Amino acid sequence: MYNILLAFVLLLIGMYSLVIAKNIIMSLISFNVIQAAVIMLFLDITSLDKSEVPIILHHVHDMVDPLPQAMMLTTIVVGSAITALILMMSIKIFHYFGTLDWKEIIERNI
Amino acid sequence: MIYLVFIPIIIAVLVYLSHNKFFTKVSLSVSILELFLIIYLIKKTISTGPFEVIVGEWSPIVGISIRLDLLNGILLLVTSTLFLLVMYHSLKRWDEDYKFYFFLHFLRGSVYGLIIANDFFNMFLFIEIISLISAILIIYKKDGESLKAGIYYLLFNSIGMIFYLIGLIIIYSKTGTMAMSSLSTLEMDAITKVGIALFIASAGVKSAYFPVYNWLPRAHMAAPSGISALLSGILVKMGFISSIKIFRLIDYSLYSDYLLSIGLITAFLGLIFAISQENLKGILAFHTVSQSGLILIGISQHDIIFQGGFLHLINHAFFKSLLFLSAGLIINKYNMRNVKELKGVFKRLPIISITLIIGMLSITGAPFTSGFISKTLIKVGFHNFELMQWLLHLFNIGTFVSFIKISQIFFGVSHNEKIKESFSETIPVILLSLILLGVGISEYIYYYRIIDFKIVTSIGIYLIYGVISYSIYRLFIEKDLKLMKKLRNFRLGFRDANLLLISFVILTILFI
Repeated sequence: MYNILLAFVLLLIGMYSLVIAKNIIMSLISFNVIQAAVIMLFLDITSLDKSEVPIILHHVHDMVDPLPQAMMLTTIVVGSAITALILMMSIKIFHYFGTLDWKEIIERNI
Repeated sequence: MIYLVFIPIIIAVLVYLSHNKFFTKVSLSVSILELFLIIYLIKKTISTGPFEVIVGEWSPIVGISIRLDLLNGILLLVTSTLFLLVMYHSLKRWDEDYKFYFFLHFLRGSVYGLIIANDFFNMFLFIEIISLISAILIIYKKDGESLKAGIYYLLFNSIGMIFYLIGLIIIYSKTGTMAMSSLSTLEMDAITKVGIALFIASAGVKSAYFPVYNWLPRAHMAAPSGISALLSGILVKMGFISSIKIFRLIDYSLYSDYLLSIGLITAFLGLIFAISQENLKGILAFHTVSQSGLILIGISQHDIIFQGGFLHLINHAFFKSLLFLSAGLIINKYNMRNVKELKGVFKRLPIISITLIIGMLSITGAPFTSGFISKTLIKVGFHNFELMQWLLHLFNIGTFVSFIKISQIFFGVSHNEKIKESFSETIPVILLSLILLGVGISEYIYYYRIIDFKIVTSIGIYLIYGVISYSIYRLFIEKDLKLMKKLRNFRLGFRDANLLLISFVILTILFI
């Protein structure tokens, strides 16, 4: 229960910082925070209370649903790929414009 | 059927590894074979009905399932054709560049994957792969403008897809499976509705609905012209495809009114911005927003209007890519983008001008062209909705005005003697315009018995549109009023766009 609450708080923090972010890196970090919150929410909702790790042994009866865990691993991989590409682009943008401020970049015409 | 996804990806890897000019050209012929494969699959679905496959023979609850039916088959065919033509079009410019073809082949594979995917998580994954690769293709020129557009596109779309993930959590915790068919058994209570609303909102980000359309014109203007054609021909349609897949399983009359109003606003605003633009690609890009609104109006309803919307989706894929490819050729020849500076195109580049005119006739809905059929289907569907008829007339006139603005490039005299067209580079646009005419005529023959098209009246109406919009153009648009300049230079910052995105999602949840 606490985990779900924590995930919601993280989600709200991420969205708030997305709306106020002035810098590309700041926007990227808030994207990552939101994604972490969603992953945490998913894992917490789908794992039952007092259940064990999804490895088939003889005496394990109520194990956690393994499907969400596999899916969230994939989501983490996708998220890291997007983060890497955005970091690369922001390096190029810094070389080009000399700043990472959204306002200056968007309003400048080249 | 899963090989449909892997053939292009394996070709992509081979192209990358060999980095050989000859092999890059050979790889195009493999995609012709793919086209025949898809036609074979469509024939099979017509004779035996739609079929579903679970990859690896797992149980349907946990397995990755793919599904092919007539609707998916048509989308596959459109995708394959457009990719082939765009690859051929790019051959001259990006000839040396095997990496460009690596990304194009890979993108094609993942678009096929999205079209045949039949569970929510695979759809999410393929949409993310498509966003990544298309972002790389948008920044391919590596100048400041395209980098700006690329980072805006990628970050904004990824944030949009987060909401899809939240919707996924809700549906999964209700059903315990990712398979799409589980949706039809689900009871529509408040929580399920929120989940589906989140799916629709994230599809809205991909398809550029009203408050979240802002990434689209930027990306279209900055990308190479072949990529703009793919973006507005196929990639913008991804959101619609995922919405259609969900709509097939649930009773979506609940969402109809909300989506209809969003579609109307999108269509209207797209037109206003399109008229104010002076950049040739900018006009076409904002038109994609407005046509997206029209498609949304179509697919949010039932029966004949839905058919009209779906047909408009396909027709728009063809005519907008034709327009973008022709415009790209003109821009490359003249090396300028402003509609007011381009002069005497018809004399210098007659073939490209004719294909551009065919595209313009289709998009404005001239009788017998493909745009006419789908627009008429939507109009006929709304026959007892007076206001809607007038709004559709208004949209048509708006489209006409902006294309009269573009058509000014045909007149006048250009003193640049170097501008000449060669036949080989016009082959893709010629083929595309022939396909467009063929599609229009075959759609007309198919719907001829079901619907009374009233050809004579429509030709009359079309001419009236022409007269009205020409006078509007002469009276208001040509003078370039202050309001127009303001609209043209209007730029939405990233923070405001995010605020709009979050409020759009909340609105969608509240209204449904």
